[in-house]
Amino acid sequence: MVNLLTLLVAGLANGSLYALVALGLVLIYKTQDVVNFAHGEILMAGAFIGFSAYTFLHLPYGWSLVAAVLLGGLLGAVIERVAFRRVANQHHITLAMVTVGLSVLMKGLARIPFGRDINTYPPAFKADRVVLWGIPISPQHLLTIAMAASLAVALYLFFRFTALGKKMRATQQTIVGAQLVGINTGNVFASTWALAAMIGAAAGVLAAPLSLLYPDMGTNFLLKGFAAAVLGGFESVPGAIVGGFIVGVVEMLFGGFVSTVFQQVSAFFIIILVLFLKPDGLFGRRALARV
Amino acid sequence: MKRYRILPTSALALCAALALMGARAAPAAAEEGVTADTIRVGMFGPLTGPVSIYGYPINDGALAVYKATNDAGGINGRKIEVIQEDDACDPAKSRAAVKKLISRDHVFAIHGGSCSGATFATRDTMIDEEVPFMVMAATLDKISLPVNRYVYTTTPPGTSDGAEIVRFIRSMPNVKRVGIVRHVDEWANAKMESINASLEQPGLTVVANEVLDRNATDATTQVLHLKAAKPDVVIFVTYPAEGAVFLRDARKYDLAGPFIGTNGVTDLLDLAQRAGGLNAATDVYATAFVAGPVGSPAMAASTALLKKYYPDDRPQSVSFYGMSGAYAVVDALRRAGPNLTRKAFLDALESTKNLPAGPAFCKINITPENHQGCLAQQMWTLRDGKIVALGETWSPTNPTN
Amino acid sequence: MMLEVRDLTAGYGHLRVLRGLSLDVPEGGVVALLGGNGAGKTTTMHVLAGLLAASGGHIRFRGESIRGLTSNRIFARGMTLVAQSRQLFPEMTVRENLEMGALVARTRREIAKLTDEVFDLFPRLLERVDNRAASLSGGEQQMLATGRALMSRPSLLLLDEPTTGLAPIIVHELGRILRRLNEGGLTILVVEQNVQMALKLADTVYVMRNGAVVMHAPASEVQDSAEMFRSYLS
Ligand SMILES: Nc1ncnc2c1ncn2[C@@H]1O[C@H](COP(=O)(O)OP(=O)(O)OP(=O)(O)O)[C@@H](O)[C@H]1O
Ligand SMILES: [Mg+2]
Repeated sequence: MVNLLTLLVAGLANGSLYALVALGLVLIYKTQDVVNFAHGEILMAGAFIGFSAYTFLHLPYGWSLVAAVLLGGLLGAVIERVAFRRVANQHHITLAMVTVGLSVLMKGLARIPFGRDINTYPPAFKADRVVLWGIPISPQHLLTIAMAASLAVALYLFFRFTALGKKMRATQQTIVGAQLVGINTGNVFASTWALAAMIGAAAGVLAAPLSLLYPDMGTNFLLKGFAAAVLGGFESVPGAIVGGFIVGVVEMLFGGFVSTVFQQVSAFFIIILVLFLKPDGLFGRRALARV
Repeated sequence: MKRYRILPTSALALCAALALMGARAAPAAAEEGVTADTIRVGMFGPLTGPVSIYGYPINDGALAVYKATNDAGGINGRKIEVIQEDDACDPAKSRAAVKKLISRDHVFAIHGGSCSGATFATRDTMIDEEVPFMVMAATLDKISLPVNRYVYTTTPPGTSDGAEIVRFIRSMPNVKRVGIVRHVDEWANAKMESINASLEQPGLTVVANEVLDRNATDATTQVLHLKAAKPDVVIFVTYPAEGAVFLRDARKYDLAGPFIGTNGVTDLLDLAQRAGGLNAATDVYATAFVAGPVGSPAMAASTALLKKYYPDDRPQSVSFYGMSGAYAVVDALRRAGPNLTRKAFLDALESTKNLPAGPAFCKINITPENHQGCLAQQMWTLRDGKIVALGETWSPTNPTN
Repeated sequence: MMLEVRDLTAGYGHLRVLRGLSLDVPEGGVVALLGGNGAGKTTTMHVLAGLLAASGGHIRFRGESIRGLTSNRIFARGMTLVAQSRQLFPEMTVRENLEMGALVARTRREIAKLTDEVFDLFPRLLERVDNRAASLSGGEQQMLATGRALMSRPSLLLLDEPTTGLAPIIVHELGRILRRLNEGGLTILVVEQNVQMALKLADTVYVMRNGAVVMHAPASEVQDSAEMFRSYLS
């Protein structure tokens, strides 16, 4: 029979990617009350930036990751400033539609230079697997798990101890309250988008060697990240991470022990189940009466 | 007062009508889409959306053939004028695109369709409107079957590709247990239909049948299931990206081949590269509709042609999928003679015999009873980092069809 | 003059709320703004604090025009609003809320000192220092909102209905604290529905209706005419 540990490890590896995607979604949602449907395309953009830096500019692998993260962050800030700020006070359905429009636009733009071929993003390591305690795992997966874990810690520290992190938290809890204590909420929005986009871009660079590189590569990851975020309650950073891991593992266990036919959608079954039993997600607090 | 105005108005209308009629009547040809010096051909395919990745290369290959034909003087004094429409691989859009080509652009014939579902959706329109239709690269059998006077293809349909794969497996010694990993969509289902049918005959048993979703980035469960089933051979009916994911994970979890792919993964070197290098694609085979790997002497002429008209396109197998149909169309137009009518063109198509198919391995043969003009394929594998066609151990079907 | 407002107009979309409001807040003074429900008091405060854009008129704060500045700029110049809806950070503790009030350019030591001052004014907050703001009672929340505003050491404190919904004893306590703050040099503009409280606290009262000031007078002159105010407020 199929090895449970092997499935768990593979599930955690995939889940760490979903977690990173979910993180970006949750950050935007917490500050702007909107699900960013263009987040998959931010991931795609990050992957293409990293790819271009590596193959065309011949930057070392690590530096192309840095370039992707920085330019991805810039892209996020620009999206907020140019496309989002002027409509930020509109109904959230309108905002969601704006993000859908952005998604279509970004895919369209990416197809101009990259639409005629599927590109390959080289993995970070030459070896295609290592065997730990008898379980085969690819170094790329180890890197992804490590990235997700360290990003989670870094984010925790960022929100806890830095001025910008505190301002972001304040703005997430009440925008007017943040304005009343002199926070430049415009900057906070832009920074939040930048941060979410940086995480998205990093996820893109990590995902690309697994998924290949094409303008529509983001869609699938967005769905899984969305599932993870819903599981985590959509307002919780640790929830997003745990949600990501759960989606990854559930997929593997379902595919491994039940059937591969519904493997891709199994995570969504779980979500429906969780939402049925616990409507606020695993980490969601009951909506607090705003003070 | 009013009465007097009628006269000048009607006169004007009459003049206008005459002028219009004159304009339409002037060229010698009376057939839709044909003028004294042009033949208008409609083309459609996925130029937007996810599948545009294949849409452009495929259409560009066909366009290159038409452009070359024009540059060589055209056909019986006429130049081919192609009007391209986007179907985004969507049946609703392909139907609309075809309607537009027929009723607004008044095309003479249509050469297009690279997605099975979207192309099949246009079959009835073509037949109802009596527009000659050459399928571009879609492989779904029911697009070209049952035989209809107006519908033709020079791409091996899915069932023949599937049958070819099983035929190859049967030629392998000591193979009894077959594992399968496949997508679930029209493209894969067509191939699976014939694979399943052929496997039902005694001698082979299916020991695992796994689904890999489109856009999957992981094949762990599929590989583990296959491994547990201990197959002698694994058939993978997937697109290249997912095929690469599968082979990568097969290697990761020590699942041994041989792995047999469809002509969807003909570009074995690409497949190997995407799967993580040549090591990841040992013992991998795929059917091949084109005459040779990209870069081989067999493809030199076609590659040069593509490069001439589309220098920015990276030559890959799909770049050559649209060419054979274009050659069939050009050949039939030529044989239909200077007095070009749809009837003459269809008659010419139905008498296509041993026509070289450009970059395709087959020779094109079409008769009134058979409109699938190109069934012969090769079986390819990788040896020493190069694609080779199997010859000694495996004899391909008769290249004349 | 700490604050001069002239002919201020503002609204929400097509709805015009402020229709030419003018008022003055002298340095070191306490000015009360009275008016019935929907008169536009909160709207006035929001425009002053930069939460809502004015469509016309002038706002001069310490001699400089501040109309059109963003809320963070106005805050930086020393005007801080305690909103009617309080707008605390519900998931943060009392201490964190206070610290957020001094977030803009302050050192740790200074923050600690300011926090202690707030605890001096509102000892109740010290008892609940590690509780989340969402768990505080209405009176405690009002104290916290006021304390948070004081953390920025404003020169003009705007208070929007600080006493609404509070128990009489807390209203009394709050009034005492505000007077103490004013004696310490803080200028206050306070919106009140509680006429008694307003007259006790303020030097000058303004009464507004339909988005404009309909009368204003020194509080001492109207001590006896509470009845008259009531008629305006109804
Ligand atoms: N965000 C808003 N959008 C639309 N209209 C609003 C908004 N806020 C207030 N209004 C309207 O503006 C008018 C003035 O409201 P405002 O809150 O300024 O009154 P107020 O004097 O503070 O009343 P209260 O004593 O009830 O607090 C009211 O008619 C109110 O309905
Ligand atoms: Mg109010």
